[in-house]
Amino acid sequence: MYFHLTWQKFAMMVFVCFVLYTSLAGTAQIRADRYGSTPAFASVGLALQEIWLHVRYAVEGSVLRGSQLAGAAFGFVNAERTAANSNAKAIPVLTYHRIVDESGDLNNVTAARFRDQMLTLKRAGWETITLREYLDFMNRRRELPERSFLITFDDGAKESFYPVDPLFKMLGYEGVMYVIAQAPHIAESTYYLSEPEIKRMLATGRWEIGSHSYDGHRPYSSNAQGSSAIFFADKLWIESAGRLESEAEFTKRVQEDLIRARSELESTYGVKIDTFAFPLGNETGVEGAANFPAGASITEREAAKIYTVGFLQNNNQTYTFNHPISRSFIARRIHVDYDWSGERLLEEMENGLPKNLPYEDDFSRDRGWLAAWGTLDLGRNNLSLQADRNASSASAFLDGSALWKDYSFDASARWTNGSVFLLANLVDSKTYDSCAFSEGSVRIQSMVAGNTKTLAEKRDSRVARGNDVRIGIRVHDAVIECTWNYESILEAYDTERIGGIGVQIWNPEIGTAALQVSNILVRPYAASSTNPS
Amino acid sequence: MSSNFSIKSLGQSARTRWNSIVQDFGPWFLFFLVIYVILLLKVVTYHTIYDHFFFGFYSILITTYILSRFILSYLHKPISYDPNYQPSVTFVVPAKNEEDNIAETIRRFAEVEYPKEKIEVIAINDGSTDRTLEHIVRTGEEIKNNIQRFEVVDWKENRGKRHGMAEGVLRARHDIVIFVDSDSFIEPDCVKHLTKYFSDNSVGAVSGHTDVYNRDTNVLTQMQAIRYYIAFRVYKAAESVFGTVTCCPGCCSAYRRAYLLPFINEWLNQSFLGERCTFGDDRSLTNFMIRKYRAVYSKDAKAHTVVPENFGKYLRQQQRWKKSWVRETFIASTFMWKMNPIAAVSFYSYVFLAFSSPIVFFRALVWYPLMFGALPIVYLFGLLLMLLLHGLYYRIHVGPRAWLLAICNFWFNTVILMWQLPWAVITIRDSRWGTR
Repeated sequence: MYFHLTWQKFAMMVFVCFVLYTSLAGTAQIRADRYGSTPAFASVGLALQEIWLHVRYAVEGSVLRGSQLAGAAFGFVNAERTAANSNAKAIPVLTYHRIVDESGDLNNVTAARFRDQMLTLKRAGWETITLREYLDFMNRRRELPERSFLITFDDGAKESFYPVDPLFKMLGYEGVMYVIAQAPHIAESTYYLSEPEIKRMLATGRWEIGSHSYDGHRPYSSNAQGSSAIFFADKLWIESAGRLESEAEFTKRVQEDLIRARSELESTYGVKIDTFAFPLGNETGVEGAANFPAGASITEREAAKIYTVGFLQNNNQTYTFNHPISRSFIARRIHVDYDWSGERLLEEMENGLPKNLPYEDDFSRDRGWLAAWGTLDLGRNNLSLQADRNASSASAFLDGSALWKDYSFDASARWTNGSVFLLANLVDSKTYDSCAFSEGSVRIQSMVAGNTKTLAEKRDSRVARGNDVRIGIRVHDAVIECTWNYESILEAYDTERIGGIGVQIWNPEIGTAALQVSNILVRPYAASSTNPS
Repeated sequence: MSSNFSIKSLGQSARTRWNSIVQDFGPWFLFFLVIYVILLLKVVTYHTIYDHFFFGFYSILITTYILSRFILSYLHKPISYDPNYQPSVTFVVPAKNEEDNIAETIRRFAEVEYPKEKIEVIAINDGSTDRTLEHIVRTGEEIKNNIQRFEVVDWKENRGKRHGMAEGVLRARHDIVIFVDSDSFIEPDCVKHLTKYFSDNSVGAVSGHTDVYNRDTNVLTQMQAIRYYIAFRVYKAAESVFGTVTCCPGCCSAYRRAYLLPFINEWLNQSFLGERCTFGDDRSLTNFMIRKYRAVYSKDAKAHTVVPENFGKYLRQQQRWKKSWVRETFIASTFMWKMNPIAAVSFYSYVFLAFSSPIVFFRALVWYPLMFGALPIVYLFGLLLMLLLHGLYYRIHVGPRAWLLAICNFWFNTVILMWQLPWAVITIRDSRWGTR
């Protein structure tokens, strides 16, 4: 035997083994602490991504800050908000899902685009707020500077956190993650954040969480064949009983999920969960398979008992920003589409900012008109509104006008068919006052939650179609007036409201209704309003 | 001023030592870092052994095998040279058409640090068609006064290296026979470091340490240099711990003549599967020896050998070696189980690994990608780490040479040489590619 083991060699081997063992055990511990049950190779990938992005943004941030030359152009990175000249009247909330490397689907924004969006917003002076600040603002307990916004990410995916956090760190932004409470417990998930990752995310101080249901996000079935059903909108198939669940069962199931999500998140992460983001999009799945029309509203009712705010995606039926005046449980979020550039997102945000009176619009560009239904075209210095092929009317309203009160709204229009409506005191696309101009008559209507009431009506031979008619609506206190060529021709009273403006066109012949507005002017109401020229 | 000077020189020498520690620290750190990553990889892929026993077993075995070679080589016992023990030696050099190198090979025998009356040289001209004989004779004249005896055996017909070696053993009058290839060159202290091991009567053979003489010729020879170094310093050293070096190579190895004589004829006439064995003479001779005696490795007994400089020659050489490896491993496996348990387990593990590696390679690089679209990232990464480990070892011991070539080398080894083994098995009876 030519075997030679001295104490020195022995000690060296013990030392090496000890160091190797400690390193391995330490690595395992770090992995468990940082990445939870994430599979080993995915953990390595995430670690590398974290290191790379932190280095990249640290360098980028210091270059942007440090460079004298770039100072003027990039100083915004450093800039705390320059003593905002006015306070915010409304807050937009953005929805993202995952931030992906390559765009594969409509829901997820690429990392490059996301970066462009965030830098563009930062440069324009937009700053994020926390959920707490948002809730306090909505309850009128605090003021916030203008251009404050909230960023939310749905589902609690890894790709919502890892590519985003280093950028937020550089920009001083904060985000809210809507977590599916059950998902962090999925073992070895490469998709969802695990529990330790969420805890670590919260510990950065840049993130908060909200509820995205306990397990209401995945597809369920609505019959024996397994046709897909939406957890919060449809009655589900009870396999053992061979039937659909009853309304009581639906309510109980929804209620249990909502409560469980909140208590699970609160006990696991030690934070208060006040807000809920409805899973699967627009109207809690109303646009989905829907075998139970009342389902969505039951869910809203139940959610309102458990949470303070419930977020739905904006669907062009109301203003994009959330105002403290609306005390409703439902709040709106702007879904950031996968193909929006930073400029496009900024335009959406700026257009939604509350507008001041007087307001003039020559339609040389889009200043925030939203089509509630029908097709809207803002090209060629005209607002052109056209009913869809199977509809008799089209309706549009002006974003950012929600807080207007006591004003006169005058429009120059090319009115060639049907009846044209000027809307005021518009709360949303189904609640407003209007002047309806028809050939030879005018009518004042009040619409509340889709129910129309005629307040006054008058035949007037002056009211006639033409290529350039001057129509108007005035609202002040409880009074609504209609004007023709700047002359008041009809007056009525309604309950006092505040709200913005809109236009509508209606023609019983399907698919033909069309209207072009070339110019509008909205001025604070004065008793002696006359022709502006 | 003088005190200043001494402080300065002290500081300098300390700094030099410190510098060398710092310089070595980097590669050593990387070396253990690679081991750390390899172990980490094993820990996180432990479940593969449940997925498929064969491949899981292979994966764990190959890691254990390679890491254990490093540990064993670290534990190899250094023997110090005792000037009172100086057995007489006979250099045996069979040569065929070696007119370029033979003179230098022989000249070095007279320059060794050993008593000249204990040195004998027997050169065998095995039917050379060039001026080899002329060089042998002339060099013999040059050195004959510096050694005890010089003998030339001149065969007009080529009989083969094995005959030359056997002839040398039979004609030798000294105790220790040192085989040196006609294109290998020994260092002056080579002999004493070979003979020192024979003070132990159980030792029958000692392998010297051979490096590549023409290392800097091209990439191929640089890669071979790394391979030689690792094969000797790690793998042979590990075998040597148990006295079971399976091949004391012909380029520079010493055998105790008294132990050779009983089987020299049996070895000379060795046949396998009905065919006369004409290559792998060294491995075969060692194999006869280790049945009864020990074979060890002396890292201080240095020699240099000329390796193939073009790819075709290299492949043919490797193919010969593979064939003799298959033959001798088959023979050795009939008695290795009687050896030290660790030596036996190591031996059979290596046999298993050598035959499995083409299968594992095929599964990872062809079968899985084609059938399941699974890229062999883990396999290739693991392979890369192992190669890096060898490369770093070379870098630490030899210095900043082209150690990164170790990686190319082993890639090359994996992709091409691995497949020589099955091919060698298939063509084992074809002995046309005789030596040289």
